[in-house]
Amino acid sequence: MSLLQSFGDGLATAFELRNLLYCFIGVFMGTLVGVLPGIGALASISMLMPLTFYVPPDTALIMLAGIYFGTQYGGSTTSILLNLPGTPSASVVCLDGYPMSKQGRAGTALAITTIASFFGATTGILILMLFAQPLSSLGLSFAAADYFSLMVLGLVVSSTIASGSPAKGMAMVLVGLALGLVGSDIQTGTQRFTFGFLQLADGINLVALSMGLFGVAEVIGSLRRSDNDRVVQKVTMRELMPSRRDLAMSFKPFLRGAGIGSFIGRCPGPGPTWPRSWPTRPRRRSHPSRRVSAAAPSRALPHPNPPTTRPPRRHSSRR
Amino acid sequence: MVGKKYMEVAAGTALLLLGLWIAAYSVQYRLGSLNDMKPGFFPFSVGILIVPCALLIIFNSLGLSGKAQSFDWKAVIVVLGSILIFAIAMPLFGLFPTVFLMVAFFGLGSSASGPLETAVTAIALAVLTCLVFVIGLGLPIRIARWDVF
Repeated sequence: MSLLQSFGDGLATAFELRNLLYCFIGVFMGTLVGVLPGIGALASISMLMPLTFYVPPDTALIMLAGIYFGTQYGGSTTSILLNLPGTPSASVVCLDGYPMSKQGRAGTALAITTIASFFGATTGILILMLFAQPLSSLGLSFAAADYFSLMVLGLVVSSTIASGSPAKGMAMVLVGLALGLVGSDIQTGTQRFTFGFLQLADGINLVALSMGLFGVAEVIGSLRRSDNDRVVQKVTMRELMPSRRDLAMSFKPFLRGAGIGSFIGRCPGPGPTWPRSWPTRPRRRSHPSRRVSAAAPSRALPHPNPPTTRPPRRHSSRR
Repeated sequence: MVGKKYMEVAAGTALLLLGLWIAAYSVQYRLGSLNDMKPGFFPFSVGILIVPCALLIIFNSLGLSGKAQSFDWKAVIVVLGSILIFAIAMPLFGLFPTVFLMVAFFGLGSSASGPLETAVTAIALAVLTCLVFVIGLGLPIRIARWDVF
């Protein structure tokens, strides 16, 4: 019963008024910063770190976790409303969230992202508590060959799910891989495809790339359209409530996303971006409009691992 | 006016050239063998794998009929020009003048808003970005540089 005992102790600490207050401040600041494109979870934690210097350690941990979850969540807001990902892992939310917002359902998309974030995070923590031991040994038994096979599988599957011909999808994946090659080689440190630019030694920043591809293209596209069909979203509180139908359709993707996230999060290495780039749902050719809304939640999950329990990354963040 | 067919053919050809160029360029990093991969091995394989995809795209597009599509050069020039202004002016003048210049160029170029509206937007955005990024988040950016004049 030591598990329940310590769980109770933890809850008691977490629900102290002071800790809840600091958690709220953390999530609030984190969401604010996460909305800004280009500033990810790591950067905002290091910027907001000084705020935690004057509080006890447990409160500081709670606040840092709040900041982390806040930034992960905040990044999805601009993805949905403006097609601009705030954090790298939120760039996937653009694919489904922005079309929903174009259909005038931005409120629903925002709400579903919120619910999915909460659901995924809670499930992740519960699973972490119950299965931390066996899951981490399974995660650690993943060797290079397993990672490679998983990645090839993920990339091939994601190329077939893209709209258009499979040849284009495959070409897209390969060009993406080629863009990822820019910078120092992880094994040998050789500078590849940098053309002598020191700024390229760290590779191409994912946020910058997706801003260029999604954001700039969207701005150019919206200038082309006449002024009267410009999409201006007014999100009211009422719209935030998803309909019963939306929730019913989202339930399975919630479960799928939470399960995949909890498992992948155990493996050292992949951050929140990688598992989310997977197509996690069967393709629904016959219902294009339903596909959009049903897909949103499974991609909306934050990483279920709070930063304090994350194993250190073994590789560079480029993958 | 560009037909869809020619767009596809052009895209496929560009992709083909890109793949071949990547493969050719990565040879200088040395290829090694499957057992002992050198830094050029993976880029080379990626480049080679792009080639059949590009050929497939060209092949598939041959049957398409050309449907005309207009291309709005003005929008492209205004948007990319603003980004270029940011890249050039940022290290020279600092954040405030850069954002002002950028928004002014965009507003006047795109004719989305009148001169007065553009000026107000430009000043407001410049103040806001300085407040958020330099003062609020403490990013190492100069608000303005006067020593260049």
